[in-house]
Amino acid sequence: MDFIYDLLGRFHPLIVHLPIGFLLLGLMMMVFDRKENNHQKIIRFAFFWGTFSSLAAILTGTVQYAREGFLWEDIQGHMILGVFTFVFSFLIYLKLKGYLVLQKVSYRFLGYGLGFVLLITGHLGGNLTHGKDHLTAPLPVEIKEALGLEVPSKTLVLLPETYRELPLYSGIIQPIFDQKCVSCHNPKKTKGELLLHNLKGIMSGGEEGPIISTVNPEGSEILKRIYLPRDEKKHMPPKAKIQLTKAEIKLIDKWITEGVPENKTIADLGLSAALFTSFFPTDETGIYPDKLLEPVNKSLIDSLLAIGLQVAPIYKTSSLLKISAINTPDFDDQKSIVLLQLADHIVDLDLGQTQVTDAVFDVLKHFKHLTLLKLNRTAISGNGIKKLMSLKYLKQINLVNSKFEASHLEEMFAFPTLEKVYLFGTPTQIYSAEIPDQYQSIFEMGNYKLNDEVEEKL
Amino acid sequence: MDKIKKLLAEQRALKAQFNSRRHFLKDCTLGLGGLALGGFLNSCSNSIPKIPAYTTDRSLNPMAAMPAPYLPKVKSVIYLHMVGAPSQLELFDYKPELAKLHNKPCPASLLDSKKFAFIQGVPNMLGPQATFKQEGETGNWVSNHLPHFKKVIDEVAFLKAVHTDQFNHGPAQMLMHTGSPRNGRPSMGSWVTYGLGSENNNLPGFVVLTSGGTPDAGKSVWGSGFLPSVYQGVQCRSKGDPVLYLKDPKGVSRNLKKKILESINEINLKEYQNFGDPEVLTRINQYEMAYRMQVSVPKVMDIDKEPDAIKEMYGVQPGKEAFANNCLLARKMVEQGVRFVQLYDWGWDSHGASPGGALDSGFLRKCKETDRPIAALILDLKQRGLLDETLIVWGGEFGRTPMWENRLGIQNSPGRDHQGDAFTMWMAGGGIKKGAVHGKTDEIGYSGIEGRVSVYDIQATILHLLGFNHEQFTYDFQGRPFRLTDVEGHVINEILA
Repeated sequence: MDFIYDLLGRFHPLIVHLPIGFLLLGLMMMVFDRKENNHQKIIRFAFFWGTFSSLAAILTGTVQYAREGFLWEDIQGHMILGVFTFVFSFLIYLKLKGYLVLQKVSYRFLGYGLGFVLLITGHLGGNLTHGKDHLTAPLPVEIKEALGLEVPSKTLVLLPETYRELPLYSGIIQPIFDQKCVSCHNPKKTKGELLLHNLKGIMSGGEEGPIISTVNPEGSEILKRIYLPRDEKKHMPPKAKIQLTKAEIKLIDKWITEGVPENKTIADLGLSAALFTSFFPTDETGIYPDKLLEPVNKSLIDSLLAIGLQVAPIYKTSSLLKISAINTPDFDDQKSIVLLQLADHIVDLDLGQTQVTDAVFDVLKHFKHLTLLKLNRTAISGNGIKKLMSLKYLKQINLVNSKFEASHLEEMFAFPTLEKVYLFGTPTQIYSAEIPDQYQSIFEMGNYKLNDEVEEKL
Repeated sequence: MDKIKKLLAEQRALKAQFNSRRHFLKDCTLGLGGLALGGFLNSCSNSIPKIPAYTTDRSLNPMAAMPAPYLPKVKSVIYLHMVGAPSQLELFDYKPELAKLHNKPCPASLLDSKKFAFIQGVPNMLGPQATFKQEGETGNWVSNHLPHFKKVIDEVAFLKAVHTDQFNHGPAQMLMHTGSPRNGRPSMGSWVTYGLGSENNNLPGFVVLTSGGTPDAGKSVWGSGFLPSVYQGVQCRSKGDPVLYLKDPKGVSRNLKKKILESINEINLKEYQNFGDPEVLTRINQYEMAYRMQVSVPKVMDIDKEPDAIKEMYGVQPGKEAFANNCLLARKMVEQGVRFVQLYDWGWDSHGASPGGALDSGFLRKCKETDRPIAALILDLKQRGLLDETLIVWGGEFGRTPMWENRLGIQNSPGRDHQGDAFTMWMAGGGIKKGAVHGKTDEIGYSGIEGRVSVYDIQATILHLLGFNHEQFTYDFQGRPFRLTDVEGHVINEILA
């Protein structure tokens, strides 16, 4: 029948709301009724049930404390103030009943006292169930700093270019501990007498002895605890806390099996990049502008699909669009006008092998986020291409096998962001065009040849 | 009478199959959807169901293009598989130490607990049958057998320590392309077309071109496994007409053909609405694709119309079955938005047991046949602005031993046995770190000692570049989700830009 107690204990979070409600009502009625004294009966009623339910809350709370493994230091404030709530409420009830012993104690003192302990008790109870930072967590970092609150360390981000120079311990392992372990294992709060905020603490272990074994690294207590199933009591971090990720576990494991090096860098240890990739910043938009735009109306996209265009976001959840006319060889300048409705969203546009001519530049110049543009195998001669100069993200123009004229080449020198222009197969004058050295790498002329003379005797 | 009863019983049993619990659970969601669709379509035509010309609805058009889950680095893949497993020791993996051991007996320690396909007893070592040089700005090693490749070596990232656990051709090819050494899984190209569809409505999304012969594993290396068969690779003939029966028969006009197909498809669509079998949809799709291919294929597949300079660069041999022709075709297809082009070149199994498979004769011929077209393919894609959006993968199904193969105890012409422990592959194109070298083998090229990558890692990397997370890209079959990489695979970040 033991389960009855457990069940009873678990009603505590529900029952606590009753005294809060009754007693607040009682206090409000006392204020409301302070002149007329017309509602004494109702006030008494509220305090009777307030007192009764606060007693019930104390009982169920005590059961829960005894049976669910809460620590006394965690709940002491909540419990003591809970008892005070009961006492204050009971005294008010007795005074209302007219017990003369209480003649000298004023309603004012009892009322304020009750209100105060009630609020604090409730707040501490909330901290227990929702966590201490429940109310402060949403605050902006600046306000937290102003209030002197602990600012959560930022998630670990490694740069693919430089991460190899970081010492494994101070660059990676300690930041992981700081994020996931140190909130319970620090000098102020030292669960299990274990400190994880610095290497000395880590190496000296906790109340059950060292957590890292130098003789048998694989059998280190810390690894055992980490690898235990999440539901096990001894699993760390505790199941209610934020867990270590697979990648973090792998790194901690690696660090310990490598002999807990303090200063060796990732490069020294020769660790494979695969271990670290999950900490690299995610490059979500790549070469495309890093813009968040309102998603495009679906019916608009459908209308473009209906004329045979391929229209799709550059990846599933992006609002930037990639449009291709590969299935509509009859696409022309006139039809390109429909694209203006998506002017902001188009970043990758393939109008290759279509009927478009130089007039299309008047449309293209409005696509302010356009990054990749294909006009290969078209009648484009380049007349008006300078209109694209205002495009601040344009990186590539493909003019292969178009009619592009060498005379328009220099108009592109001033394009601010241009990285590559493909000109292979355009009229041959292009090869005699003069291109200043600094722009040479932009213009890909192609026309590669493989000479036979290099074929050595086999 | 008994016979009739038996037939009736059979008929009932057949019908009952469509009413099984499994059928209901598996197919009826789709079937009900189809029925609803039928109603919807009927309302706008005179009771004849029709598939709209353009739709992104996968249940109507299984090849509809879909965005990748993550930002892709490439749009297309050209996978060059050298069937038979080329020797890394004669191409890219330079091992001067091995030369010193040439024709000396192999130390017993290298043979302990090793399985070989053909080597028996104690073989001799075989020094590199090539001279090596560092080429390009990166100074990566390449042998004298690849005089053209060295001009594009800076575009390429090498994986020097790929390993596989299969040491026979068929299973190793299956593992490389389907993620399992046994039959039944979809090939990489099928996964990719299933996930991304095809941009070009008039061409298949997954095309296979072979030269020299069919891979040992057969056509299942481009099969669709448990995916709907619309996603299987479409093999084009390498000689003569790439696709047969492109011309309408005499007396059948294109219009009549169209009407015939429309009628067939209407009947098929009704069938689909009844049973929800995706294979019916596949068939509808194939008919329509075939009809459109009658126009599109001659245009794309005709390499004769290419300018002479291009033909010369690739070294094409019009009218013949040649790897060079296939490389040029691969470029043309990628240009037209084909998603996955798979080239198989047969004849790299250099055991030394016959002249065709000897490192001093047949192997040299294979090098010569492929060297120029591969360099041309990379340069041609580059000058057309396609290299940035295409991934080229080169490799075999495994590597070759540093030992001289002694089949039946006899040492023939120079040749090497199968080896899965370490071999070289390379990738080039969009998202690839140009000139990178990842992985290192021991002094004789027998095992990887650094940067070992598995076949699954290759697959994970290819999927990554196409915008997939290989761990999230699954297909439910027989009660569980399946992945190309099964439970393995890490993206090889070391060769990514």
